[in-house]
Amino acid sequence: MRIYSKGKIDLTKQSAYLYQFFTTCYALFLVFFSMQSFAVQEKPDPKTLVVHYTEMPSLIAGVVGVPSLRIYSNGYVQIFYPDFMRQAGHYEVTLNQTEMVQLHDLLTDEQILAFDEGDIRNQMAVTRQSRVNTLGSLSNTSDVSDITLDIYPGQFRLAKPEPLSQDKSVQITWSGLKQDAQSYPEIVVLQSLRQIQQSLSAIMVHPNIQKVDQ
Amino acid sequence: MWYGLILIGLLISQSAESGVFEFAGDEHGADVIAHPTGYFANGQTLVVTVGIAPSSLHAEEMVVPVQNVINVWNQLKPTVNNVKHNQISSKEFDFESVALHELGHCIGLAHPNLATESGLVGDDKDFTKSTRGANNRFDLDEGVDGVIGSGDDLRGDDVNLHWFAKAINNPFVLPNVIDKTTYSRDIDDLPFGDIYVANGERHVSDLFGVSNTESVMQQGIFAGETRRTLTADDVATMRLGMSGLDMIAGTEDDYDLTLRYVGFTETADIVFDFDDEASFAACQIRGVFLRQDKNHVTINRAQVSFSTDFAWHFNNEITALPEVTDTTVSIKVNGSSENTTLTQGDNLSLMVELSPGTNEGKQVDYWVWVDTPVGTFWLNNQLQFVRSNLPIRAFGGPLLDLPSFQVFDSPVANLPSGSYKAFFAVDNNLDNIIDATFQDQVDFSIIQ
Repeated sequence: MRIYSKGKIDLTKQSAYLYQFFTTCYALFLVFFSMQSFAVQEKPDPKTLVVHYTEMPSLIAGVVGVPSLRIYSNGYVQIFYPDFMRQAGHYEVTLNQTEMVQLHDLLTDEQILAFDEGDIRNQMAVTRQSRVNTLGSLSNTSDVSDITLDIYPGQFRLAKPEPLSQDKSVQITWSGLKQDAQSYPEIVVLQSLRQIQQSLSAIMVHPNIQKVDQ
Repeated sequence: MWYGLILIGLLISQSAESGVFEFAGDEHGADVIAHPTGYFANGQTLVVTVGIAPSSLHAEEMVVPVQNVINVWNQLKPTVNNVKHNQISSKEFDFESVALHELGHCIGLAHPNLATESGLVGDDKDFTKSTRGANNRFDLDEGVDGVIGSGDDLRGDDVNLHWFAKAINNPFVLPNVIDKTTYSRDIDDLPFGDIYVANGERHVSDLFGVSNTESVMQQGIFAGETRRTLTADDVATMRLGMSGLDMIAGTEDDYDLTLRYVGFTETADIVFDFDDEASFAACQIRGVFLRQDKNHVTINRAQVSFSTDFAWHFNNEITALPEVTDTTVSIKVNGSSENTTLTQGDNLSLMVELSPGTNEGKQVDYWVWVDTPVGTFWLNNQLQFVRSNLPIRAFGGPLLDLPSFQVFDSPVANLPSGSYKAFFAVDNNLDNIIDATFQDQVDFSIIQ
């Protein structure tokens, strides 16, 4: 008690600075760790990526940034809109378990994982020819968008009893998905792919997204 | 004489290059030509209405640029140096430039380059439009000049879809005569030394000494860039289509195109709408094969969709239109427009003059006739006056600038005495039916 009292009484100007220094260090330590956890959110382990989605309008020239979406196994989502879009910037959001399960079910659909572009294009060609022959009509949409979907089904970590999908990754690219899905309702896998696109697009405008300064 | 007119046209012209039509390809045939709404192989002026969806976002902001792009397509004027980088923010896309491109699709034009529909990415998309050929893959080698889309590209067995002038492989100049006599899709018709068809891409324009020029129909526009006027490539493609089913300019199945702005409506032939049906911007078209010829398709529905997700720049200034001048014609007797009396010792010379004004290049009928004491004589396409009770057309073809052209020169002694009325007329269309839209008359008498 005395010592303490003495110590308090005997504090020199120098020791006061020392006290201030340690206090500051402690504060910085707290800030550092809070930033550290934030940084973990910002830069999750790329190995935990479950899906990477981009959609680029074909009429736009040059590689000046592509609207993109990355979703990681813990539900963390990174969204990017290039400068020329109204929502330009980086965003983040974290999906809940239910949303992740829904996403898993869509992305690990058997037909999606076995996606065969050539086969689908053949089916489309047959349908188009049939329409020309029967209806005499043709159709076309200019300047559609090109999507790229990289799926890593093995990275899902869900509290689900069913086994995880295989570890291989699947890349799907498609030009004009929206139009093709409308034009060929009988091609089931196109409808599934379109459903995935719609779900991912919805995540890109998720009500909880937060803008992140870069 | 009228061969002279044609010759004038040819002299004025330089060989040029055209582009690609919607629906042309493996599926429907490489020779498919797409025509705007309303074309059914009878010579006429097609009027295609263009409107703005009343409930569309940016509806009011679209009014000026949509009218501008209509004017540009109606005028069909080729330009160079049409790529500008100083008119809008680098973070915006120019609505007017994109609308000009999409409207081109809506009236039948496709991308001159392979574009994204090829499945290719990056610079490879700039190679000239083709099918994959027998080996079922695109053969892409930019050749010695290192410029993709130029005349020395090595394209293996890729089947060219790009219509080009036979005499010279240059997409940046425009001839007067544009039809299958001067154009081809067959690379065997390329000029000596060229290997493949050059397209209207901006780097190709450097090779031809017209930098910063790019076909409006070329797929690919940068943020901060404007491209608000057509190039020769765009104009030539359109006019090739306008040569009709037979693809011969000056025949009865030719047509003119007039795009007409009709304001806020959902019922125009082409409607602009920020309906988010497109990821950025697109024209959705439907068409039918013409009964007369399965290589020709008429578009029967078109819709231009834009996305609201992008930062758009809306031009709010009406494009400066060229001075509007009417077509004027005149006919003179011995250099005079006044009533003239000639005697047996005189010479009779009939001269016609034509100033096409803003209608220059339009396909029309020309008529020259003289009412004489012994009946009406019509100038035929052999440059001879022929007596006929029915009109005989002198020439069908483009409206040309004719400062002075002699159609008759003979001693009066060969002609009967009496009153004469000489007429020169041109129509505003090409159908071999006299309309005499623009007409002049001069009277003269021959006395003993």
